[in-house]
Amino acid sequence: MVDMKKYVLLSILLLSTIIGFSQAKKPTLMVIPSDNWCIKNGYVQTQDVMGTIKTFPDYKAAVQNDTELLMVLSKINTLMADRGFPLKNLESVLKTLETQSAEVSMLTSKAGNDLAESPTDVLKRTANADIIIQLTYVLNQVGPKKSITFMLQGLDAYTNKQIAGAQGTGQPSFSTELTVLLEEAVISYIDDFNSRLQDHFNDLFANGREVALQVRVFNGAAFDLEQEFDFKGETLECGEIIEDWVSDNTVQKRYNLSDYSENRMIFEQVRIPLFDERDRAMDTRRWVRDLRTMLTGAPFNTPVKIYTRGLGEVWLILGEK
Amino acid sequence: MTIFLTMPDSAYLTEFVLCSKYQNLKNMNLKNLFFVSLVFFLFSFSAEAQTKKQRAAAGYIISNYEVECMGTGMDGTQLIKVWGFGKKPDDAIYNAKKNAVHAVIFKGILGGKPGCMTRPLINKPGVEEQHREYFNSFFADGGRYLNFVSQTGDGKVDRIKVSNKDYKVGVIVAIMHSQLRAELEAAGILKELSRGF
Repeated sequence: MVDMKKYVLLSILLLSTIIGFSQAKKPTLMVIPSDNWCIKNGYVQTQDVMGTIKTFPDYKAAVQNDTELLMVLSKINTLMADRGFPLKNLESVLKTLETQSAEVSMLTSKAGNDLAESPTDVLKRTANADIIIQLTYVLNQVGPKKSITFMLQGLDAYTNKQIAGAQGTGQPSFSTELTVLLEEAVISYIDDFNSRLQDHFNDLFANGREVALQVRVFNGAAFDLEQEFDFKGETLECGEIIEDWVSDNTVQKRYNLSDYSENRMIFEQVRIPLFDERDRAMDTRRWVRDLRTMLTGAPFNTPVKIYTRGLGEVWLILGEK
Repeated sequence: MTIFLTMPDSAYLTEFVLCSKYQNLKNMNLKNLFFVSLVFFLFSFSAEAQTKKQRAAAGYIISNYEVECMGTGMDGTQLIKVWGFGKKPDDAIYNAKKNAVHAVIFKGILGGKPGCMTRPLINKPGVEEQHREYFNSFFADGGRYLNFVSQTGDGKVDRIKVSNKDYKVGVIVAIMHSQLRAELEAAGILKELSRGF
């Protein structure tokens, strides 16, 4: 009897420790200058895409040439680190990407084989984060008076929603230097921005992480999403069975199926729990794994590829790996 | 018996009408005055009751103070002008400092120059009630709130004598809102930004 009590106590203690230390996957944040700022300041690259000249921001040129930008990025990073949430540094990320590219192209095995890298892997080697903090500032000048209009936008990379923001125009000044005005603007707006970011995190903990799911079909697949199957006593289209699975596996059945055709389903505003039933931190890949298992089994018996984009977006592609 | 019926002459009639009107007016005025006084009397009671209610609800502070932003200070500091009431100017300044910390925690600084946090540190309803004991001790006279506020400038204050017994004093103070946030996080009232990750 005493031994039994000991076991029960020990189990409770162990369980409480596991629960106590459960931590959700931390989103990465990075500050980047907005497209608007890059274009206005001439830090752009142009590319001919199918006969159309397109303009892209050139972040590397911006951080290498613009001291004020560097100061603002550094100030925001410092203040966020002070508040317990260090950010990815844009300049370091860009440098790492370059070094990695060089290493990937040079690295070979002893047998002389290169590292395997698909075109998508190359495409994915870009500066990215789960939450992008987009920075814009403009120097206003009226006669000798100068002021700064400053804007911070926190954008969720997967849902494309603005989850936090702070903006405003500072006090006009006759003599203050631009860097000082910028520093003042960062100090003024960062805490309001953080307050909104905290609201977003609170919502995430209360209602689950908001992610996006796309279901697609390879050309060589044996069936499409409109193929009917007898599944659990019902005859339903493959897409409808997938939708039922999503409904059963979301927090409070919250999701939005914004597009459904024979070849693709787009689920948006999908709320997934932060932890699985074993208290492990959940991300979209782990979440969608059970759906893959279901589709690879009877009656579907199809290979399924999972393609992830960071913490918050996943594509499930039917028909091949 | 002969009865003489005489018509009053017009001057007499006018005087009579005027007199009666004056009398009516006088009566009316007295009545009105009585009612107006009564309303004022009752209103003063209800206003007093409201103030008492507010005081009781707030517990440690009268929340109808005025506050405006004066700009940004150093990292994690904001400068605000805040007004306080007191029987002596010094009491009013003391009260103003308390109001300044209260504003940053519960109200946000919405008016004045740019540079202050427009959102309060605590924006979830009911937190003040939930942690009443903590805030009663925090805002007690000489309480910990004083660690996060300091008077700035050359000590100049705006002083208005609002009644024989009360002063209203406006003072510019610096609020260390980052440290204040850290204190509230340590007390478990606010969540750290990275908590849970």
